[in-house]
Amino acid sequence: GRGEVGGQSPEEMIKFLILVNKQGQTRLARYYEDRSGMSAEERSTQEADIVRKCLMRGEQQCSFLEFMGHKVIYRRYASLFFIVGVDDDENEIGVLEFIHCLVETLDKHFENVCELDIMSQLEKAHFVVDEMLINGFIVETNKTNILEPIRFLDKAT
Amino acid sequence: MTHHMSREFAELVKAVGDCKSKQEEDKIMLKEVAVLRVRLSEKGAASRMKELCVRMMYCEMLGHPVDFGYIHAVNMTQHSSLVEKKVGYLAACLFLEEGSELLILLVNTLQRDLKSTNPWEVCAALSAVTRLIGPETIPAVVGQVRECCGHSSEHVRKKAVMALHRFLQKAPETVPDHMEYFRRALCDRDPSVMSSAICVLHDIARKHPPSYHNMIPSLVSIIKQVIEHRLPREFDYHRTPAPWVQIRLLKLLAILGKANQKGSEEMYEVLKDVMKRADVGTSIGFGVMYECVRTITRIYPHAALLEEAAASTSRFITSDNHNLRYIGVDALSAIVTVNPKYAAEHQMVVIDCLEDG
Repeated sequence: GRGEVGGQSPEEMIKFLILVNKQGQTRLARYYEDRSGMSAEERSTQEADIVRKCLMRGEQQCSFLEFMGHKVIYRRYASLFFIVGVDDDENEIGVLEFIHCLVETLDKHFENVCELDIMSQLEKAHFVVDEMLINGFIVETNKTNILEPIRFLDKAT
Repeated sequence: MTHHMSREFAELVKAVGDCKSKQEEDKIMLKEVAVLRVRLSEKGAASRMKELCVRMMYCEMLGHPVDFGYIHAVNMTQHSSLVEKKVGYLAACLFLEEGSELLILLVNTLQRDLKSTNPWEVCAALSAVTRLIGPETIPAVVGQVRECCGHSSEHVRKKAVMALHRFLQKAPETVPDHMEYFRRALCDRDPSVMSSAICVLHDIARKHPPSYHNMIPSLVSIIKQVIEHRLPREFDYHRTPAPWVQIRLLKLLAILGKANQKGSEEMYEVLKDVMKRADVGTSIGFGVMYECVRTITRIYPHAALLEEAAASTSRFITSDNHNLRYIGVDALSAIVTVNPKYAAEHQMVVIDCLEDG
């Protein structure tokens, strides 16, 4: 079971969400804890290390692993890994399905989203993530609500 | 909107996409950083600033900081066009650390945008505030954020709640009245605002659960509403109503029911219902069931519920799915902690499945 720190139940939030392809190239990165301590270069290296660890997993293994003290939950879509770092007490299935909800939402906006869509409209991909995840909490999963501000933006320009 | 990318940017994206090694990528990005240095100081820079900010985002993302360009992102937040403003705020959020001197330049823009008549501008400012705010800058915006909690747009209210929570995390003395706003948000007619309140309350309550025991009846009523499909259909995911809201509520109830017999008794019936309705054979359904099992093992024990929890756990453990087996093992250890007897009753199932390997 999971432990409690000093009698208080632990923080439960998402620490980071990254999209990295199988060659270790980062396509989107969002961090939800104070990053002070890690330079941009160090983060980039760590992202490649995480995906390498995901790539070593066999078909018979589950989608959850440990990396540098974080629990990591990942899901692969073609060449792209969606990787989420969480606190120890998080509901892994909930996060796994949240990743899928994010992909479904990106699919809805980009119409069958692919790696290239995210690369050529990086800011849009960030806008989608930012509607769903606020301060590391899953706040919005209603696709209409998520996409409403982004559609408004598209109409206005 | 037709998505327009300059040839230079399109070539960058292609080069990054085509490259086969980190060294190759680094070479391309070092060149891009040098190009951006030039582009940002050119006369035409202002009219291309949105693209230049996105290209700066690329450099940072791939490990190449562009400190010389941060000021341009900050300045772009003052743009009257919403898309430029949003990209400026986004870039600022990705580039700046809390305590950055450039944040002081942002404060005036934030104050103006928080009062905007365009709710999307208010939302953009609230997102940036939640990300960038620190103890020194909170006082400049806290009054306006409080007002945003009562805004006519549910998008604004939802983000304002999260911003206020961030203030509480960073400098609690600036929001002594926070519970008033969070309780009101919990009762908001909009489910997303309610959802944000539940996230916040979960985080707050874990620090001193007894203070929040009196919320149990409201939370039970909310989860009942959710599982009885009384929220709009758009909140369904794979036929399960607002599953992440259910999960968050279950976690919150677990905290409030711990060592609280009377409080737990108020929950037993709805927990049974949540478990039953989540059992639809979908992955997210299992996720909700798993959280329900955890809650059952954490609150004041109830024999029949623990039986249900043990039965669900048996199914996880004997599943073909590796992820379900993983959570099944965790659920089982949680149940055994409560009372080994419950595990003993299902011992034969567990042994059977372990033997099957």
